[in-house]
Amino acid sequence: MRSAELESPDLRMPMADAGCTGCGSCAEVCPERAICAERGWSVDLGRCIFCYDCMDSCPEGHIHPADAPDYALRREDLVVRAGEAPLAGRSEDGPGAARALKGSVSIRVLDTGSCNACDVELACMSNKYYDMERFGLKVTASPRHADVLLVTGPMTENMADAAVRTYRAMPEPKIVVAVGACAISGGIFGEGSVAGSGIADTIPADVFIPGCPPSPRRVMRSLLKVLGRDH
Amino acid sequence: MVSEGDDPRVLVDAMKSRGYRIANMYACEGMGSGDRALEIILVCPGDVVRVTTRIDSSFTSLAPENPETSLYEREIWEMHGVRPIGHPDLRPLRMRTRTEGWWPMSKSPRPDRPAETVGIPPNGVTGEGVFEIPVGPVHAGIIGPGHFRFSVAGEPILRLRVYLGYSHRGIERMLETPFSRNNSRMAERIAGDSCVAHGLAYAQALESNTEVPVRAGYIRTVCAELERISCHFGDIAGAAQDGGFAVPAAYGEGLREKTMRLNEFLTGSRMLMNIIVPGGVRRDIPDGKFEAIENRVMKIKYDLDELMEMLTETPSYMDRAETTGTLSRAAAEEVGAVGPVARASGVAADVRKDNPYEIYDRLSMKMAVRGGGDVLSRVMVRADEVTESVSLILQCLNRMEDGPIRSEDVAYRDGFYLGMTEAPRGELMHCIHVRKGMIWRYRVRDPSFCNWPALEAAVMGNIVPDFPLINKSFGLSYSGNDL
Repeated sequence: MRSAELESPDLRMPMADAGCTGCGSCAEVCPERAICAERGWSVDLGRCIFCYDCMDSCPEGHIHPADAPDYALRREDLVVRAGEAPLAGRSEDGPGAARALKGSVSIRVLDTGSCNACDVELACMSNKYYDMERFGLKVTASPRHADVLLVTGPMTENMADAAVRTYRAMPEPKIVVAVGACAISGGIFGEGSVAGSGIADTIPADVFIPGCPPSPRRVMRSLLKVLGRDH
Repeated sequence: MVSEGDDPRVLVDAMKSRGYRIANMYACEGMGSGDRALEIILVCPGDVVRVTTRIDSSFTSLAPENPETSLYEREIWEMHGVRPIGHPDLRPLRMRTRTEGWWPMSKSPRPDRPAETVGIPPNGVTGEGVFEIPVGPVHAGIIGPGHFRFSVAGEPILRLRVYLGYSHRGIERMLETPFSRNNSRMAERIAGDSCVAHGLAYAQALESNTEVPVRAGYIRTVCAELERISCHFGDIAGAAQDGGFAVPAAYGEGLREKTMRLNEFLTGSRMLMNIIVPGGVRRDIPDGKFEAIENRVMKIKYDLDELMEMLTETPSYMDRAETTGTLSRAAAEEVGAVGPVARASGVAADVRKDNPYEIYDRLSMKMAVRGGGDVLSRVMVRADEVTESVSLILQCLNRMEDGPIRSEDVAYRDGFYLGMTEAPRGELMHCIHVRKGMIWRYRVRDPSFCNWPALEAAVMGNIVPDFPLINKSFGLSYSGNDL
């Protein structure tokens, strides 16, 4: 089988090659409805959970793991079309607030109903292998002290109020990062009636990091790039 | 499977006196209005029994004689609008809003009416110098959302009430799909750090009529034990961190990272997601990879010994951990606690031994039981379980058989199906009712649902600054509880 192609899965996304016939088997099988196979093939990385069910379902093997962008500054840039270079992560500047923050940031993590996988990966960023503190990325206990809000979870109904209060408690300048498929689009829970369709309807999001969950490497690379720290 | 007339209490009493315990209890909406069933699942080593009772809009509460049913009945009231008559405490469980005339598990769609907010009531502990401290739902660390209400007089905690439901996503309703649809991805994400345990419970429920290939059984067991090791390292590190002990906390987090990298090497996923499907596993793991990890798995045991030495040979940490947050055996049994939390209080129950699944009946395994019931006992039980998991993985690597990894003919028939696994946090159960090819009712019972009440009992008399330590020693899931 194609296990070897999934080495370094952290950096990859499913992508159809030029031989795609548009049969739509992948779109049907995708648990997230992240794939559109009509009028060209595209995958919405904001919905994708990187399970590669699509790759397994393609009757002629036209889907392969391809190099993926780490993040996007606009939600629509996470839709990647076959045969086109992704727009995500190509902007030179991060959001305006990033320039004002100038380096070290205090980070608050907000869970708006996630399954906890994203939170586990965010917590790993503090372990000795990634040690994000050496880059001046520090987790703080209160949103009052925070510059960056990392948000996981689909924004459940029960968390909306607390999320708004958390966001308002943060002083300007501040950046909100939607971490993972749930925060970007509601993910696998978005079709229910009590989970939301992502955080952006409740609090404004500046950066979108795809994954389910995104690895600590991807989140760190994205944060450092957005903060202009990646020389 | 037993059907009972109007009142299950006599039957439940009889079964409990024969060694069964209530492991799950929920309501199942009927086809017509007012036509419902009360489902009670009782478990003992070697057997699982389902008691079904027809009910309408109320039933006589089992909670006064069976405190372990208290939360289940609160859930039935909140989700179905079925009143347990005689239940002493019907505070809201998961919902922070209520829509008049509609219940979340009702088969009719949610009406467009605005929902009223359901407030969190005060604890009701009064007296001079008694304060109430509300904490959450947003907490100081990287952790799930939940609200804790402490009543304190100075430092000692007089009462703790836990209010969860902030991660409620309505999963049980979302899983009411055609039976043939593969819901593995959603089942795994009920609680992402126990994705293998949830994925297995879902798959096993569907595999009631299917022969799963032996090789798949070995691979799944290896994944389940790797997940257990990863979670336990995280919990032991957390118990060090919230005891204020930075060096073993960092070391433990490093061991968790090492295990997650092992997971990624074997399966392509740090958290072992997207691997398990009904019928087997999606991708084979070449034998060369298993050989490559054998040494790394053995080394986990030595790494663990070093971590535990740091903790147990530091008197100031032992002073924090010993006798703190004690959950007595009686209290553990009364609330129906499961998993390492229960085993640390002397309750010897483990699904891998009592009701073996996958290929656990072929493996030799010691149950990790300690009697102290305190923070230290819960940490030590997890350490013992990591050692046992290493042994189980090595046994699997030694006995791995060649063969297919997936059975293609998973049979889909109407009926009732059950999958039960020992997740890192304890006994986990998925119950599926299928009618005319559709999942009519999907019931998830995560181990954390049973254990949060045990936390309320364990903190009594302890001081507030010890709460983070006690909470971390329980290591419970918010999302698994909330669904």
